[in-house]
Amino acid sequence: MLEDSILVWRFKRGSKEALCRIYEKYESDLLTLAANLLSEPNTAEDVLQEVFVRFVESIDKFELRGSLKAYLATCVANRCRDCTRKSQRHRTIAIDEAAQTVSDENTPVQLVINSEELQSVSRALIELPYEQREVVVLHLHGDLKFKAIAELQQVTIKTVQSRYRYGLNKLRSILNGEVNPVRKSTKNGVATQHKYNSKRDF
Amino acid sequence: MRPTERTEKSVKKLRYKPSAEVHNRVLTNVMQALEKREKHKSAEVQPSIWRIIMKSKITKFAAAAAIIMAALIAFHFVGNPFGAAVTFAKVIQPILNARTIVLDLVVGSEETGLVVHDIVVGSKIRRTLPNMGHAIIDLDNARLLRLDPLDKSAVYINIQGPFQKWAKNYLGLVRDIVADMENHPEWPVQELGQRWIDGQRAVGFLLSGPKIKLTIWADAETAVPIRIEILTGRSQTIIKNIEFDVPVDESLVSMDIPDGYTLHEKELDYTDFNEQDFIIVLQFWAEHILGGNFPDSVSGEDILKVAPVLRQKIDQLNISDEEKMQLGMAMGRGFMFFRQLEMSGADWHYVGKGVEFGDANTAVFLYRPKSSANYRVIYGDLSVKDAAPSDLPK
Repeated sequence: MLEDSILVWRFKRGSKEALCRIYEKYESDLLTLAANLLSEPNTAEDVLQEVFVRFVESIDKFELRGSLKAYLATCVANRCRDCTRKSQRHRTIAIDEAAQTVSDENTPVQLVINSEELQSVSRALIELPYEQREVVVLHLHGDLKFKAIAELQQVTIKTVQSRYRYGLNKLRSILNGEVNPVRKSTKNGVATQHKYNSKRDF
Repeated sequence: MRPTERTEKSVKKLRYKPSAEVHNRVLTNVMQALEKREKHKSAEVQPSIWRIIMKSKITKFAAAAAIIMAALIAFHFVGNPFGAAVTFAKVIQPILNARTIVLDLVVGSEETGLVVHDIVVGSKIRRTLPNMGHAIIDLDNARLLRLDPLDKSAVYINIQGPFQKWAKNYLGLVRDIVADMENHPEWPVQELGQRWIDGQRAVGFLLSGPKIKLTIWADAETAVPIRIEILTGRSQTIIKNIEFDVPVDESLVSMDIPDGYTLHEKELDYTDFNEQDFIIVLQFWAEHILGGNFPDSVSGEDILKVAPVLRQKIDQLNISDEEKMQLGMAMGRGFMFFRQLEMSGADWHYVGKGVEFGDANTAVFLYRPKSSANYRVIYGDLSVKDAAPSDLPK
C-alpha cells in the first residue's frame, strides 16, 4: 500500500519505471481476475490492456484514496461486465472450448496450475450467474471487501453476502455433481452438456 | 476444513498467468499509450507531494505548527527521565518522588546536540526547543498547548496515537518501568566507579537492557542523579542540569490561554505514522534543502536541527495553507516513524551520504520492521524494496 502510493506518485511525475512496476506487480492478479470473470479467458488480455491504458490516460486526475489493487480490480470488473454484456449478445464461443483453450499450454493466458480439477472449477465458475461469479471472484481474487463490491454492484452488503454464499454453494453442488449445468454450450454447432466428476469432495 | 472453505480454496487456486508474448505485447501497448499521452500533454504539471498524503482534520493553522508539534512530541520517546527508573532504588528515589524536576535534554552528542529544556511539574511538562518555541504537555490528559509569542497564537492539541498510549501518566509510567526491570534480573547493573562531573564527585551505574543502555551518574554523597545518559541503538540522549523539587511557578505549566492570545483547537493525529511519511521527509530534505542530495546523516539530532528549516521551506512553497498543513503533518508523522525506529532499538541504517535524489540504484535507508526477517530498503529514487539480510546493498 505504501509502496503503491510512492509508485503512483512517481508515475505522476513521469516515471516510466514506476508504471512498469505497477503493471508487473498487478498483471497476474488482474489477469486472473479478468480470466475468471470472463467466459473466454483469452479476452482477459484485452481487458488488462484497456484497464492499464485508461489508467495511463487518466493518471493526471487520479488520486489514490485506498488500495491501488482494489482500484484496478474494480476497473477490471467494470470492463469485464461490459464484455460479458456484449458477448451475451454475440455469443460465439462455446464454454467448453473456452475452458479448453486455457488448458492448452500454447494459449496466451494459462492456468498457473493446470490440472483437471482446476479446469473443472473453472468450468463450474462460468456456470454461476454473473453477479454471483463477480462477487466470488472479486472477493477471493481481487481482495475486495463485500462493502466495496456492494458499491460496485449498487446493491446492499447483505445482497452481496447472499450472492457470495449462493455462489459458493452452487459451485460446490456443481463440482460434486449434484447439479447438472442448466446452460448448454455449442461446439461445432452441436449442443453438448458439461460433464463433471461426480461426488468429488469440494 | 469446512465445505465452504474448501470451495474457496479451490477458487483461489484458479490463478492465471500471461504468456511471455502477452506480457510483452500488453506492456508495450501500455507504454505506447504513455508516450502518446506525454506528447499531447499541454503543460508539465508537477503533482504536489501533498496529494499522496492522507487528509487530516486540520485545515487552517500553518504547517509550521505540525512540524514543531511533532518535534516536541517526539521527545516523549526519550524526553522524560524514564530511563532513570533503574533497580538501584536509592538513585531513583528522587525521580519517583520529586514533584518538580527541571532538566536539560541533549539530543545527540554533548558537543553538537540540540538542548531541550524541560520543566516537569507532576504530570505536566513545559518543553522548550531552540528556534521552535515552547509547549505545555499534559501527560495525564494527552493534551498539548503551544503558545507562539510571535503571532500570539495558542493551539490546543488533543494528541492521538502512541503519545496517548505510552505516556498517559508520567509517574505511573516510571513505576511501570521500575517494575518491569525488577522482573528482569538478567539485565545487569554495573557499577562504574567514581568520576568528577560538573565539579561534583559522582558514582556511576550502567544498566544494560536488551535495547537500551542507561548510565546514571549520581552525587556520591547524596545519591541524587546529576546526569543520565541513554543510548538506544545509536541514538544518544543526555539528561543533565537536573534539579529535583525546586520551586516552580505553576503558571509555567498552566493549560490556560494567556490574555491576548488567539485560540485554535485542533486534533493532531499521529496514529498512523509510517514509512511513507518518512520518505516524504527524506524527499523534502533532499529536494528543497540540500539541492538534490540526501543529508550526510539522519538522527534525532539532525531531525531536530532541520525541523525549523523544513518549516521555513514549506512556508515558502507556492501552495495553499491546506496543502502546507498536509505536508507538515506528513513530515511530523515521518519524524515519529523515525524516532520510533530509533528509540525502539530497531535495526536501521542510514546510508544516504553522497547519494543524489533520483538515484534508483543506490540505497539511502534500510531498516528491519518489527517481526520481519527481511529489510525494507529505500533507494535514492524513493522506491522501496524488500531485501533478505543476505541481499542487502553493500
